[in-house]
Amino acid sequence: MTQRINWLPIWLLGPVAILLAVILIWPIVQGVALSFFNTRILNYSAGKFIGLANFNALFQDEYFWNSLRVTAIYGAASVICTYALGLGFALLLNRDFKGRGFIRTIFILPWAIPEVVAVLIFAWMLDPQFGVGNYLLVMIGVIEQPQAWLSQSHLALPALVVLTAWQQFPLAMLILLAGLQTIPEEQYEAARMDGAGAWTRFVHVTLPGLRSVNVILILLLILNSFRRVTMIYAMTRGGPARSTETLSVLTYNTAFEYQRVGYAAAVGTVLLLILLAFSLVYFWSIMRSNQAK
Amino acid sequence: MTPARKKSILNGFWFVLTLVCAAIVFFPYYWMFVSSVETDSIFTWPPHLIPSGFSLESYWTIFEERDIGRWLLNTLIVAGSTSLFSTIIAINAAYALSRFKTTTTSVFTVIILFSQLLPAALIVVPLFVIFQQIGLYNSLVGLAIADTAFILPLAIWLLKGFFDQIPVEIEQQAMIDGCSQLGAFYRVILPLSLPGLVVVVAMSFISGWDEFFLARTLIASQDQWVLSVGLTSFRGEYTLDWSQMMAAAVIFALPALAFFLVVQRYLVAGLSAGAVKG
Repeated sequence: MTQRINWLPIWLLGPVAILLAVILIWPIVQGVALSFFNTRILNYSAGKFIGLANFNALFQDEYFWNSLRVTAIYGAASVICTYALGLGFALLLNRDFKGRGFIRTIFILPWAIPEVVAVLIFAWMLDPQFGVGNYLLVMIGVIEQPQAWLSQSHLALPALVVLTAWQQFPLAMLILLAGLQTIPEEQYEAARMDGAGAWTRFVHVTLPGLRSVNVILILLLILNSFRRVTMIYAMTRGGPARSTETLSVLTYNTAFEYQRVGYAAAVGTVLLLILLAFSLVYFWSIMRSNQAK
Repeated sequence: MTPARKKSILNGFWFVLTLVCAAIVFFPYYWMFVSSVETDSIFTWPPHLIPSGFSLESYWTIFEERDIGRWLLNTLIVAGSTSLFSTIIAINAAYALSRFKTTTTSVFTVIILFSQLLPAALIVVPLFVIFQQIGLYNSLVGLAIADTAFILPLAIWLLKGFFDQIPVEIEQQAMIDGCSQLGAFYRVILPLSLPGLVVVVAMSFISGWDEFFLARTLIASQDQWVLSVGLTSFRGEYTLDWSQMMAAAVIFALPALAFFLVVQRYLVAGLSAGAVKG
């Protein structure tokens, strides 16, 4: 007996299938394929198959290793700062006080403005001559004199991490806030009965209660940091002296500044493989935490 | 000190700390606005933390001297079309994923989840050429189509969450009363999920409005630029007037903020649940 095919879901999903196929999936397939060709923008349809030559060149390219290092440092620093701010503010907001909804909205706002606007505000605040950020940092004693944050290679990455943390912490905060609300009040009560102070309660009740949320959130933040292009590109274009050139930005610059499409595709393919590895762990932890519920 | 008194002091401390943190988080917004309306020159040291006056002159100047009006219109076209396309497509797809459990739909669920995590930097390299081949390069509608593809996975996922909450019995009742399955969906389920629709309309509008990376890659000529690309182009200039720049930033940020505030309650719940539950 043959099962009757229900065509309705197929019709309903058709437009999505076409769009995702043409704009996301086919380009990814083509991108991976291009990494085996010596294609440039000018000879796009006539690139020659060169096997693994792009990858061989890549692994001897100091700019590639530099980019891998920048990706790791930027990823680690921005995830740690984003998470720390998110957790701190989630704990502050997880208390009862007047005007909590309003304060929460203020904390979410950085996430709601266009990334480009966040970049422009920070670029102005960090202006070497008139930037208010420099003024305030000198005033509280972090730096001795105003710095040209975005044109010195040892300062651009920290500036970018601060911008990222400011713009992205609301996502972490909201997810952690949702996680905090699943911890039963009785556990805190029981800990208080045993004479546990605030810090002990935090370490022995709050942190274990957030464990499954933490794993998923941190993986999500890592994935986002590897994929991020708009903010980094609009802020520094990967400079100065490639000090902020993550793999994403290197892929883009290699293709569109240096016009080496095949080589760029090889960089992008390495990025894709790293992302796939992390997303498998990410989906695996989501499935495991759903089963646990 | 009595425990009650100690507790109220502690509460006061946390409250003040919360306010201080909120002020620090809010400061960049404050500074954007202050810089755009300051009457004195903003190029002073030390900077005036409190503006010495209020003037909209930077706003008038930037509209007169730059193509802001044109870019605003282009951005509106892109964001509007993105919102329209994404909502129409997402409604049908989310309904299919919510109500049919077949191999097709489960394959689709996996594709949609994975496509959210693909690296845009690799996608745009071939997409740049594909768009030239199919005639969508340097076109605002083409850009909106690309934006739609990037926001669809999230839009579908959010909307599916709303449809999942509506009991199947409601549309079964409508079908007994003589509706077709699709008819029951459009006439009964859709009106019930109005908040979900509003969220998807607003969210896809915001994402089309904000988008920079695709616009930077897929649009060539200056008269087709959107605000995100136009604004960042000022940065390379030698005589950059930050006051006008901040005025432009306010103009660019306000619509996105307004849309966000309208739907934040639903959006926040849906997004944080979506990220954790997958």
